[in-house]
Formats: sequence, structure tokens, C-alpha cells
Amino acid sequence: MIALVTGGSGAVGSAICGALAGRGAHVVVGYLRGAEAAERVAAELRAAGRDAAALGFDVADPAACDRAVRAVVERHGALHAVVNAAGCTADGLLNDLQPEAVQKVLSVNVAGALNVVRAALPHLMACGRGRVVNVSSVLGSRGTQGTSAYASSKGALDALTRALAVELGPRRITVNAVAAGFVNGGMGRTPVARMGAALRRLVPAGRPGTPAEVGAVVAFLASEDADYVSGAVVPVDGGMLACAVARAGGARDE
Amino acid sequence: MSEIEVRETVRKLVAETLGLAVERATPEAKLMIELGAESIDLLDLRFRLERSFGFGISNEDLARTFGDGVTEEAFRAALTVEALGSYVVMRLEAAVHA
Repeated sequence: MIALVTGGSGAVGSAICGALAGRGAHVVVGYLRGAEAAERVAAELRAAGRDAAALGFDVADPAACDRAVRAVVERHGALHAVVNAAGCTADGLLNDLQPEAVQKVLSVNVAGALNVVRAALPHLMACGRGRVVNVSSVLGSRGTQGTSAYASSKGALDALTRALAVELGPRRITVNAVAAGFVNGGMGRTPVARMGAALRRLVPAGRPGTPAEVGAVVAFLASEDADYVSGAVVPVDGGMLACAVARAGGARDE
Repeated sequence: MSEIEVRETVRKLVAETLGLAVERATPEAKLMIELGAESIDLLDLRFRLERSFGFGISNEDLARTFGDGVTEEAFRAALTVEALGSYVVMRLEAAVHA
């Protein structure tokens, strides 16, 4: 399997690359700014005996996505799976948010995913069992203050996941998402630190997740084993989305 | 595979791609005009034909066969299940003689 992972240089993205390689995939590590990190991820995978390469391009630029997919297919001869892990955020209360920052979050997190899938579509169809996995968030379906831009982008990504699952299902392409909860790595590090001990009240598992735990579910959804799973937004959140009422704080939390 | 089997496989693939009962993919049915095929369906169908019959189909190839120098409208009218079957039969014969 040949897989393209956008945002592959980040903490969660690189864990996804590792998990895909663990299932035997050749991985193209997409990045925008993290060239060094992406090269490092690719080098580690190669050291583990996988064909891997880093590829820099901006998912918000449709022409760049076309070129990137062409480069992947020229190198590997096919493209079976796309993982949209590229993402950015603009946190802040509504009146502090700059319109440009909101636009950028939507351009990368939502339009970026569409751009990459559109560019990859003929190849995903050609391989006979294409896979798209979007890295979403619990904030796609639950609200919290100061995250309106990011949350709307992830809600849109969830909707995109379902719409494309329906549209591409007859082409034997599955489209799924993972809804990551508090993950201790990359973008999640700050929220995890901010929550501190209170995280235990919101997350039944009582701890933040790891990038590898997100990667494992993404790699499963990208695998042949998940051929009958499509349109799903799978929580990888320690049970957070299942929780109706946060647990009361106790002495342990303080 | 005999010619009849090839044509039957093409019919089946057309029906499968378009989500139709195989009976609707009659030999004279026009894929785009009557069976509702869109460009993405043709692309999908092309990949299925390639996988089933083991040869590559290029855009130039299709244009030469169905639409060289003809209008989009003429191409849509020419693209029947039977014509597609004939194209595959021709490609398979060419491969034997190559």
C-alpha cells in the first residue's frame, strides 16, 4: 500500500506514518514547514525497511496538491490511501479572532482535505480499494469556548467525511475520520497542559491519549481490514464523547 | 475468454459501475445519454476494464476509437455498451497479434 499523509511531520502525523509503515505501507510524509522533521520521519521508516519519502506542499493550494499526487504516483506507481492530518488552529474568543486567521484554518483543515482527495481521486479509484482517513477532533461534535474556528473546521471535516463516503462508496473508496480527544503531543499539548488534573473528570480513561494511539486507529481505517467501514467518525478520546456529565472533582484532582 | 464472454463481462462492468441491474446495460444502450454515466463514471469504468482485462487504456486511445475529431455530442452518442465491448475485443485481439 502506498499512503500519502499530509501533516506527516507533526506529532500525530508522524505517529500515523509509523503506524501505517507498521502495517506494511510505503509512506509519503507530506509537510509544509516541518521539512527537517518530515525528512527525519521518512529516514526512520527507511531504516525500518520501508520505502518512505518526504514531500513538501501546501494542502490549501489545489495546484500544489495535484503536483504532489503526481510526484507520488511517479515515484511509487500508485496511491492507495490519503490521510489528511495537516491542520492548524486559531484559538481565541470570537471578538479576538482575526478573519484572516479563521479563513486560514478553514482553508487548511477543510478545503485542504478536499484538495488532496480530489487530486488523488483517479488513483484511489484505479487501485480498486481506495482509502481516505481524516484526522478530526472531538471538537467537531462538541463545543468549548475559544475554539470556534477550529471546531467549525472539524465539524465541516466530519460532514465532508460522510458526504464523500456516500459519493465515493460506489467507487470502492472508503472515507472515515478519527475524532481525536486530548492528545499529548503536537497541537494537543497546550490543551492537555491547560486542563491539568481536571482532564480526569472529562475523560473516563483518566489520561490524555498518545499520538501512537491515534495512529493505530488511522492505520486500521486505512487497511484492508476496514473495507466495510465508511463514513464513520471514530472517537479516539478515552471515552470522552460518551460522557454525559463530567465527573465531580475530588481531592485527587486538586 | 471468448468474444461473447468478453462482451458479457463488459456489460457486467458497465452495470456494476453505474449501479444498474445488468439487464439495463443492453448492447445498444448509450452510457452517457441513456444510462446516466458521468465523466467520473467513465474514469471508474476505465479502471475496472483495465483491471479485468489486463491492458492499459489511455485517453488518446479512447479518443481515437470513439471521438477522434468528433464533437462531444457525437462521442456521447457513439458510446454504447456494444461499442465499448467491441473496443475491448479489438484490444484483446491486438494483444494476441502483438
